[in-house]
Order: sequence, then C-alpha cells, then structure tokens
Amino acid sequence: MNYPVWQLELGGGLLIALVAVTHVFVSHFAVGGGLFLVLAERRAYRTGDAALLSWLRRHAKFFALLTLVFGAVSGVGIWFTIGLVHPAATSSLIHIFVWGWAIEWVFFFVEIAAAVVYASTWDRLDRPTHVAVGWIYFGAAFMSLVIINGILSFMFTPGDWLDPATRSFGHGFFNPTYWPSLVLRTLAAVAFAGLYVLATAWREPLRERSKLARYAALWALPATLAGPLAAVLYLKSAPGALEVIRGAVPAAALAFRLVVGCAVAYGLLLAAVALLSRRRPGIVNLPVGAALLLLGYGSIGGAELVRESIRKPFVIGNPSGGYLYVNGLTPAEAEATRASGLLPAARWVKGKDGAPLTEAERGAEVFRVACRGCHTVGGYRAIRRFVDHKPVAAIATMVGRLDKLRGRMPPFPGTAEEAHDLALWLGGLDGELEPQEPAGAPGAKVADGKALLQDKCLACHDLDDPKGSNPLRPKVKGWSAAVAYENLGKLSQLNAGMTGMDVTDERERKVLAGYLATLAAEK
Amino acid sequence: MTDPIVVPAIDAIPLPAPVWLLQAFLTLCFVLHVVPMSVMLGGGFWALVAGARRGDPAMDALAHRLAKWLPYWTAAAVTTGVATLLFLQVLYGPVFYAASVLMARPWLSVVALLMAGYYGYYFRALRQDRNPRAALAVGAAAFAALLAVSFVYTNLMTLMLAPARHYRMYVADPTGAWLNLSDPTLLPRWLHMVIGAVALAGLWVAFLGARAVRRGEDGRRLVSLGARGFALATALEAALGGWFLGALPAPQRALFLGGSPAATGPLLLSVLLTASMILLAWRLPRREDPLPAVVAAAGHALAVVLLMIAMRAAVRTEALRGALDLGAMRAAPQWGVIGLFVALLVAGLGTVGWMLLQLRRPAAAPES
Ligand code: HEC
Ligand code: HEC
Repeated sequence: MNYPVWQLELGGGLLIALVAVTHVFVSHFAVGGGLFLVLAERRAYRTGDAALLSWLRRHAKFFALLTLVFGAVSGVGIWFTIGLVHPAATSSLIHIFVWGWAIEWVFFFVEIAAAVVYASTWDRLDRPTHVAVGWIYFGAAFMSLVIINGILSFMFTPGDWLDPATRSFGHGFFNPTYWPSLVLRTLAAVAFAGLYVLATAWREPLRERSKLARYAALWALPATLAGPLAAVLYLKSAPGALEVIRGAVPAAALAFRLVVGCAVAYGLLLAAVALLSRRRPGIVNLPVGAALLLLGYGSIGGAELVRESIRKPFVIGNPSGGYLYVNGLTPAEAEATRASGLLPAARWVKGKDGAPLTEAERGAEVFRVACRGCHTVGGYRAIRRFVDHKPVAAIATMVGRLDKLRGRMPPFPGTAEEAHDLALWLGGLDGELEPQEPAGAPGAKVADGKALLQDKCLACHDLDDPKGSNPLRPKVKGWSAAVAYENLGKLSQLNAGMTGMDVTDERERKVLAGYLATLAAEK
Repeated sequence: MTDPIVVPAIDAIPLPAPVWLLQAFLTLCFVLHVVPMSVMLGGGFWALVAGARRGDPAMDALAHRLAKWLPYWTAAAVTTGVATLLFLQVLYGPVFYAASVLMARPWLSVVALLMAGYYGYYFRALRQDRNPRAALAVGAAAFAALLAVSFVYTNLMTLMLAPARHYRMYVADPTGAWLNLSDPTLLPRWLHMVIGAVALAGLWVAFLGARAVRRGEDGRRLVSLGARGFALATALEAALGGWFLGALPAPQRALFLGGSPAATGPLLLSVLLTASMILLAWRLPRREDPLPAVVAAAGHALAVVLLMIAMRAAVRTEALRGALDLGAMRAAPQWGVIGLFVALLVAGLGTVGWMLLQLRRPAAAPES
C-alpha cells in the first residue's frame, strides 16, 4: 500500500522461491565445506596422505569458485528480490536489523578474504598457518550463519518483538525458533559438506575414490540422521507449522514430503556407494555424484519452500500472529483500511491525480494492492482460476470472507464498497459478469460429497462455526436427501446471495444432496 | 489533473541509529566501494587493451597481471558494495524501493550480469595461459556485462532522485520494465563514472609500470600507457563534468554556481585538482623514478573522488527536498549492537590484516 507493487505474472512468491532455492544450495556448503576442508587438511598432514592433499587442493579451488562468486552474488540476489517483491517487509527488516546485517557483513568480509587466501596459498604458507587460515574461514562463515539465522527465523517467529512493550533487537533476534533453526542449518551445512565431496571425487584416480566416498558418508549420514530430531524441535516451537506440513497448506505439505523423500534417498544412495565402492570404486562417478547432489538439493530446496509457505498470511509472522501481511499491511493498518477504505490510504493506485475511475477500475486497483502479493491475474496462482464463471454476488461473498477460505489469506483489507468493486472487476475478467453457465469449473469431477461441499458451498459458508459468518448446518437442518436435491437446483431462489450458484449437474446434485442429508442428520 | 508527487511514507519502525551515524557509514562505505569498483571496471578495459596486442611481451605481461588481480578487485567491489547498499536502503528506502520497483527487471538483471562478469574475470585469470584467445573473448564479455551493471546502477541512482516522475511512470507501466532514459543527466553521469573508472585503473597500470622500473625491469611503456591514458581520460572527465552540470535541473545546477558553498567549493577545488593532476600525469613518464609521481597522482585522484562524493550528496539533498526528509526520521539507536559491530569490525580488520601479513612473509621452505 505504501510502496508500488511490482506487477509480475510469474508471481513474486515464486520468484523469491526460485532465487532463494538457488542460493541455499551453495550457502550451507559454504559453511560446512569450510569445516570439512580444515579437518581433512589436518588429517592429510597427520597421516601423510599426499593423494588426499592433492585432491583437497582441487576441492578447495572448486569450493572457492563456487562460494565466492555464486554463493555471494546469489545472496545479494535474494536481497534484491525481496526488496522488489516485499519492499515493506524489507524496509522493516532493515530498520530492525541493520546492525545485525552490518555484523554479518564483517564476517562475510573476513570469510571472503580467508577463502581467497586459503585457496591460493597452499604452497606459500607453512602448514600451521594455512590451517589457521582455514579455521578463520570456517569461523567467519559459521558466524555469518549464526547472524543471518536470527533474521531469517525472526521472519517466521517474531515472538516477543511483536509486543511493543518488549520490542527490541535482542527479542527479535533470539526468537522462539532461533536455536532449533540454527541446529537444523548447522546439520544441513555438515551434511552438504559431505555430499559435495562427490562433486569432485569422481575426477580422482580410482584407488582414491572409495576413501573419499567413505568421508562423504561419514559427514553426511550422521548429520542427516540427526535432522529429524532437530526438525521436531523446530516444528514444536513454530506455531501452526505442524498443521501446515500435515496438509493445511497443500503446497507446504508437498514440499515437506520432498524434504523427507530426498533426504532418505540420498542417505540410502550414499550409504550404498560408500559400502560398495570398496569393491568397485568405479561407482564413484559423475552420474552418481550428480544424483546425490540433486537429491540433496531437493531436500534443502524443499525446506526453503516450506519456510516460505508456513508464514502465511504474513511475510513477517505466522498463522498465529504477525507484524506484516503478505500484502504489505500491518494488521492495524488493515483494520483501519477496512473502516475507512483501502484506496484512499494506498499511494500507488490510479486516481491519485484526480482522474475519475469507474467501479471496475477501482476494483482493479484494490486487487493490485490487496491481492497481487500472492495472486496474478492469469499467471502463477491465477485469480482467474477461482473467479471465472462465477457471478459477481458470489465473488463478493468470497471476498468478504477471504480469511476463512483455503489459502491462508489475510482478511480483506477494504470496505464493503471496495469488496463490491473488486468483485465487479474480478467477475468481468472472463468477459461475463453474470455467467449463463452454472458455477463450478466446467467438467468438474464428481468427487465425494465432502469435496463437493468444499468446492460448491464452503467458499461462502462455514460448516458450523457459530461465530463465523453464514454457518451452513443450521440452514440445512432437517433436510432429507430429496429436499436437498430439490433445493440445490434453486439455491438462487432461496437467497439472492447465491445467485448463479444452482447445482445443475445431475450427478453432482445427487451426490451432494446425499451428503447434505447426512450432515443435517448428524448431531 | 495534477501530477501528484507520490513517495512512500517513512517506515514506522524507528531508525536503529541516528541519521548522522548512518550517513557517515554510508559515505565511508561508498568511498571504500568506489575505488575497487572503478578499478574492476576500468581494469577490465585496460586488460582488453593489453590483451589485444598479443605478441608484445610488455603487453602480454600487463594483461597477465591485470587478469590475475581483477577477480580480487571484483570481490572487494562486491563486498563493499553490499555494505553501501545496506546503508543506502535504511536511509533512502522510500525513494530507493519505489525507483527499483519501476525498473525491477533491469535491476534484477544486475545479479545475473554481475555473476557473468565475475566468473568471466575468473575464467580469464585461470585460462589465459592455456587458451589466450578464449580468455580475451570471455574477458571482453565480462567487461561488457559489468559495463551493463554500471549502466543499470546509474539509471537507478538517477531515477531515485526524481520522485516527481515515479507515479506517472508507475501508472503507465507497473511491470518493472522502466529505465531512466529520458533523464538528461543519465548519460553524462554514467559516462562520467565509466571514464572515471578508466582513468583510475589507468593509474593502476602506471603503478605496475613504475614498480617494474624500480625493480630495474622494462616498465616505461606501461608507465606511459597508464599515465597518458589517465591524463586523457581525466581531461575527458572535465568535459563530461561540464555536460553533467549543464544537464542538471536548474535548482541543482544553481548550487554549484555559487548557490551553496558546500557544492561550489568542492567543484572549484576539484577543477583545480583535476588540472594539476592532468599536468602531473602527462609529464610523469619522463621522470627517472615515476613511482612517487604515480602515488601523488593517486592521492590527487582520491581527493577528487571525495569531492565528487560531496557534490553528489549536495545534488541528492536538493533533489529530494520536499519528497524525503531525513530530519523527520525517528531514531531509537541500538547502541549496544552498534558497539558490538564496531568491536567486531576492528577484530575482523585485524584478522584480515594478520592474514595479509602472513602472505608477506617469505615463502616457507617446502616441507618434507
Ligand atoms: C497471503 C497470500 C494471499 C493473499 C494476499 C490473497 N490470497 Fe487468495 N489465495 C491464496 C492462496 C494460497 C490460495 C489457495 C490457492 C490454491 O488452493 O491453489 C488462495 C485462494 C483464493 C481463492 C479461492 C478460495 C477457495 O477456497 O476456493 C480466492 C477467491 C481468492 N484467493 C481471492 C483472493 C482475493 C480477492 C484477494 C485479495 C483481496 C486474495 N485472494 C489475496 C493466497 C492469497
Ligand atoms: C457465493 C456464495 C455462496 C455459495 C457458494 C453458497 N451459498 Fe448458501 N448462502 C449464501 C448467502 C450470502 C446466504 C444468505 C445468508 C444469510 O442471509 O444469512 C446463503 C444462504 C443459504 C441457505 C439459507 C437460505 C435461506 O433459506 O435463506 C442455505 C440452505 C444455503 N445457503 C445452502 C447452500 C448450499 C447447500 C451451498 C452449496 C451447494 C451454498 N449454500 C453455497 C451464499 C452462498
């Protein structure tokens, strides 16, 4: 509302996810890989293993080229992206944590210097000094994780910071998920240090490969096995997260399955490779290395997607409360605009120059401010999927109760008149304000009654919730299947709020009528 | 219909430090950024000049040296740039975010371009012996990518300063496809920056030559290439500066023509310094030992950079008058965290200093 909204049909959320997922692939390796390098270097000196040492040099060069350039620049990329997609949230974070970032920057700067020195001075520095530089690298890299973790976990669980009475840097930083999230990220960093061994091991002579595969397993497997424990801790301190991954938000549930599935798969594959490579070192090859990294990537990328989706409807906050909704409004601001209007308060909408707008044009502007944060018109999470072939009245009812629909949306932040304008605009997107076809996607599948109820009725009704608007159960009290069948065909006559909602498909009508009758009979 | 000046409101969360402190860090970081950034960009140019004359041993050696060091300059430019951007956003967020959303696509492309340029520099550094032809081609592409980055930056930095145009632009096209091409200051400002970078990096070339001369090697040609290049680029800078001044909106131009001592002073001083710098550099190749003169020219150049930054700040303040009032921002300084930051900064600089010292120690005898 305060900042212009970037109109992007790819979807801002998807763009953030894409950039974040690329960065995270390298950022954890940048931490764990540092520890791996020093420990392996020390081991190579202790055991006098020249072959190991010569591999380490190549691995360190690969490491430096990947983390210094790709890691650092893609990190900057995340920052650019969130600034464009969520300027209000970025501004808030920067106001709270500028000095946190400044501290992270100190570590970042030491990290970069140390990586450059480490990778290029194997011959120039004596061994203890070279190892010391490696330790400096790891210390700085780990500390930058320690810092950024405070800011990232804050976005999900702002905790006591939310209360103006206890609002401080410390409360925001050491928030409820700070520690579990740090443990998780550290484990991921160690696991990735192991997986990345396979990124370069396949180029080594055959007799070296089995040893490297065992190192990889030694690093990746224990950290991976400890992962579930840390994840449980994390989910326990994260309000609502459990429900989310159990299915309350389908995309998050899917992403969580991706995390688990990929972790199990790379764990098994890596264990097998480590065991079998003793006999057949040739299996430590490029395809296997690529597969392992890809699976690792799937699991950490999935975790990033979970993290992105469990905060809804907030960007800073979680389902149980937050500071800033995805649409860039604070709950207090949304409260105010519900009373006195969203468009008068919004800055970057048409009409500020005094140009008169039609109702539908106003509706388009309301969409820009209130919905663009998550929806596009026809691209990613297209709003048209949800409103096409629905009459304006039905859309208006849905807009009025957004926070009760699927999708964990914030409550509609505008007046009734603005809801009407929005519905008018949305209703016209398909070129017909009052569709002749009955509601429901054409050719909708006849699913079970429960799914039909969700699809056809629960957009506008709650089932029972006495407080929620428009509970359905009392309305269908005493209905038999026959009565229900009859009424479903003429909902629009029962109440004008259901204009266009008549259920005309014969099979749907029958299934739903039967289900309604059982509902009516319950309790 | 009126053209409304629409600017986002100042963030409701107070600043975590007083404005003056944030300004001080912004300026410091920018100074630390401008130098490596210029060497990175201008150095890319000189590496191409040298690389194009293959077969000439002096030029081969120069190309080699520049190529080896450019990735490190890039690392320094990126690292200091991140810090600058951080402080820029906290102070100028309202106009910064608005302008960056208007040009979201070009702005985001900076990430890809920078990565391409950075990897391109590394590629040349690592492959120039094995495959000089490819190294030259990739180096040229990397230079082009970084040049494009600089162009996008100048677009954003000038668009930020024109909040009166933002609303119209946004309403006309909210898809983030804008640049700031219609701004008359865009081209002179960008060229001023690019030619300045070529000049500064020319000094680096002269420096490499002067050090070679000291060691008794043949560095004369490098000295004269770098110093003359520096002098010519600086003369061109002066002309571009005049163009830039003429292109500024009248109220901003007036600052430099006596309107404000804080702007006119630096301008006069920088004109004087520029003149003496050109003379110094032009005569530099004839000296017995050119190194002190190169260092003196670098000192001059650094002083001019500082003056330019002061003038830039004067333009910014005037351009944002009435649109963004830093004085109105509330601050709730986090002194404890600031103290921690300063302590860690000192420790961090010390650590990096220690590592560099290790590098200067004579190479260790190979261990058994
Ligand atoms: C926090 C992000 C967010 C915001 C803001 C948001 N939505 Fe949604 N919306 C979603 C998600 C997620 C879904 C579910 C998508 C799915 O199931 O595929 C959804 C679904 C919907 C549906 C279908 C609901 C159903 O149960 O069938 C409608 C209608 C809708 N949104 C309208 C809007 C409108 C109108 C606005 C603006 C006033 C808006 N949304 C703002 C995230 C959001
Ligand atoms: C587009 C929104 C919408 C949809 C979809 C919808 N309803 Fe309604 N329904 C309403 C509104 C609005 C009312 C009026 C509520 C009131 O005034 O208390 C209503 C009222 C009713 C009533 C009471 C009618 C009366 O006698 O006044 C029944 C029964 C009912 N709905 C059943 C259903 C069933 C069954 C479905 C699913 C097939 C359904 N509705 C889908 C909006 C909707």
